[in-house]
Amino acid sequence: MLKKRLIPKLLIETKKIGEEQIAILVTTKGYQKKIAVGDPVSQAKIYEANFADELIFTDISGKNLDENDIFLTLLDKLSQEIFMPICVGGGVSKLEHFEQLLHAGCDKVSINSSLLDDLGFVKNASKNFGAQCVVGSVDFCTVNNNPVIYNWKLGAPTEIHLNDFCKKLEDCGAGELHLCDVQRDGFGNGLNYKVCSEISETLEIPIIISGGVGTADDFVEGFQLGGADAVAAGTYFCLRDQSPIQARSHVKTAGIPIRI
Amino acid sequence: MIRCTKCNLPETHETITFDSDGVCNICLNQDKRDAIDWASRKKSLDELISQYKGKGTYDCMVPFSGGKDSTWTLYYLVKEYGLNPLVVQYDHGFMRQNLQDNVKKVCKELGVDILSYRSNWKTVRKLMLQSFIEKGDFCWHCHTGIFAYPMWIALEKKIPLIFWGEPSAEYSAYYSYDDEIETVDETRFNRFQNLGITAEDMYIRLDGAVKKRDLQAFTYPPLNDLKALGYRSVCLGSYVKWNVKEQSQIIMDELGWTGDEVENVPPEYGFEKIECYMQGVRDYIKYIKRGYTRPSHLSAIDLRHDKISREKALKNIDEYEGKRPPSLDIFLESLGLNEDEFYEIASSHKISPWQFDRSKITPGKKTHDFDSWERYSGMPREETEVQLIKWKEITS
Amino acid sequence: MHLDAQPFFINTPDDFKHATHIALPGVGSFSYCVNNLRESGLLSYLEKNIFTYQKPVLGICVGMQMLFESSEEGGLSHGLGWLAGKIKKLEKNEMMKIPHVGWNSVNFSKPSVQFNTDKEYDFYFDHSFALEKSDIILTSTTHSQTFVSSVSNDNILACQFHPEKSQTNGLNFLKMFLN
Repeated sequence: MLKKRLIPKLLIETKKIGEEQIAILVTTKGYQKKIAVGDPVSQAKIYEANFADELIFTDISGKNLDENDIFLTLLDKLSQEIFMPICVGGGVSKLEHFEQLLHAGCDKVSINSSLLDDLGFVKNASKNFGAQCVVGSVDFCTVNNNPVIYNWKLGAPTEIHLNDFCKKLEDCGAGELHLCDVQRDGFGNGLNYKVCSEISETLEIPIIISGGVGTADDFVEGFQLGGADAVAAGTYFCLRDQSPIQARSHVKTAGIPIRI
Repeated sequence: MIRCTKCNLPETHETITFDSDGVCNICLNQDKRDAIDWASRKKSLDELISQYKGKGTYDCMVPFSGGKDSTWTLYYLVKEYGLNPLVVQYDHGFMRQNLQDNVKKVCKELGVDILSYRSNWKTVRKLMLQSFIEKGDFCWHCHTGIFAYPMWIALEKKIPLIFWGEPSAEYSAYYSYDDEIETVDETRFNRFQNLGITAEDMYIRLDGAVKKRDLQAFTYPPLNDLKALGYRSVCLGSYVKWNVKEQSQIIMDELGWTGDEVENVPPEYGFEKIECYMQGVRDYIKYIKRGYTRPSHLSAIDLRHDKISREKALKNIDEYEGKRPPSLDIFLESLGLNEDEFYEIASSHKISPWQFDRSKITPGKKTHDFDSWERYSGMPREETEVQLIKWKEITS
Repeated sequence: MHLDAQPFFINTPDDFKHATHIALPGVGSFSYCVNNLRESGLLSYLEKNIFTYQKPVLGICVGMQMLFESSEEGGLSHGLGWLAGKIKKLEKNEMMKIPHVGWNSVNFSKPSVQFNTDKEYDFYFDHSFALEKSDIILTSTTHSQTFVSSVSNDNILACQFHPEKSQTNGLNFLKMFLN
């Protein structure tokens, strides 16, 4: 049977360390504070050795993919060292970006800011490359008890209702959605499994939930209470003595089907 | 907390899962060990060694700590096969006198060459503090140095065959006895040796405070170079059935190896973890994080093999666990921390569902050699604070 | 590197000469892949290498699907027709999400050095369309329905899952192909 997935989230920024400008891995808090946690290729290899089910790489510099040489060079290096499923995003706005990333060895491409510009892009990408390649990366927050889309470029919530937006994405042919609760991001206080559950029950496509994993139990909640098909975590794996293998054991002990 | 019905290890133990009878996967893995055809494994070992013996200056390399496992590994290879190994010891900086005496005795008695290497302390103390803050485990330099440094020597001295000792399947489920021969390679290094941080990551996490070239001993060499050497890096324990008590007795009788007192450990286990004078702090941090430590771990092994009664095991745990080790003072001085900071950092890494209660802790006993442990060149407070700032960032 | 094989891209008809094995990894939609292959001008050379020279070929994901007669993806699209069967959309089911994404078990119907028939092996899948049945089935998998997750026939090996992404099992599957 199909197993639930544990997915480390790797956020990429550029930083000058010593004399060089290099791609580094960061974790965030509330999409604001950034903490440097390591070398992207090194961490990807570690996750691979730890049987992570997939990896999500997102460049958060705000650059367009074709202007982002450091990120593209990184992806090239990754494709030579990593042999596991990866989803890549960051400045994806054209069909050519999809081609570029799929040829570079990515399995899925994630669209984030472009979702707010033009849903037609999702339709085209899905038609040309197949729904299974298209991941809608949706940042959300709760305003007056309502979950709404969060625009990280503006640093503010929109008035777009999360449920409606997710349904539209599904209709446009997105194959999977990655929902991230901005208010919980990096705080380790638990996932928003309530919102996840509402979306998961409404939609037919798989849901990845992230934002707030702080203990191994949170994975269990994401699956059992949130109905998520996958739980992604960034801070949790970087800044604790916790690896996917350990989290996996905990999930298995709870009786959830997971690969071991 | 859920505990294994056979060996009593709690659910906070790394990689543990339980079957429907409440027996843990590590206990179940032991049954696989008993079912292995050790005679055929021995034959494979004979074949492996014959491919390398007499082909170079050294027949093989034995990475060595001086503890019971690496000592017995060295003993076995020299006595059983007459090998000429290069013994390579990564010195983590906290070697106890008895251990150093053991190393000298053993190497003299067996007649082997030994290389020992200790990293720059000023780099090491930064690495210790950073890994303690970020992973709740200050031994990163040792975990990585022990496994990466010998590989560089293997490349330099062109020694492709490398023998490690005990397979990890003895105490965790990262590998199982099903996996045949446990290969000690970069994947294993990344899977559970390096706490999920490589030297490349540490360079970034320390924001360039330590140069890349100072981190070489902790970096796993490139796979291409190791493949070009034709490296075979294996656990002796995949070929020969491991029996800790028997093996310890042999090295004591035949080589004069001696055990030692260890902070907060029942004396009958004085053959384990005798190398490092920070062991007490290490065990104490584990207790703060996971609610169990060395006495539980050691009695679990004995319970698994029916060598101890449940009553005795629980008595050991009651008497020796949850005690503050005297070495904590040395640890705090070395890293420029105060005790409250220590508890704050350690507790921030707790593993659910365990809850640590500082008020229940009582002082542990000093070992006989406590006064000889090195206490100079502790990190200046200003330096400590730079790294603590990062920790505050992480936790705020 | 891990399998001591040297992969390279085939861009011209001449490149085929140096290849002992051929891989057809497919990422994208069915018609996108088939059309690209037809437009490349290499199709006839590919067919010669496979059917005349009998070079082993491995089709992965859409690379497997396009070997068959047709697919329902994007309306009805024609495949290469090398193998009998039609690719259809995976059934809808209240409990199961489509696309079928993640690690799922495969059961081998024929034993090999690398795989037993009495064990299940997890591989990585990412697709919405699949082959329901086949006379040359090698493995089956169950999601919202049971479908054919790989086939093998003479020198053709094709899988719906991604062995190149499936870690140890995947490496063993590729070893099986290379041997």
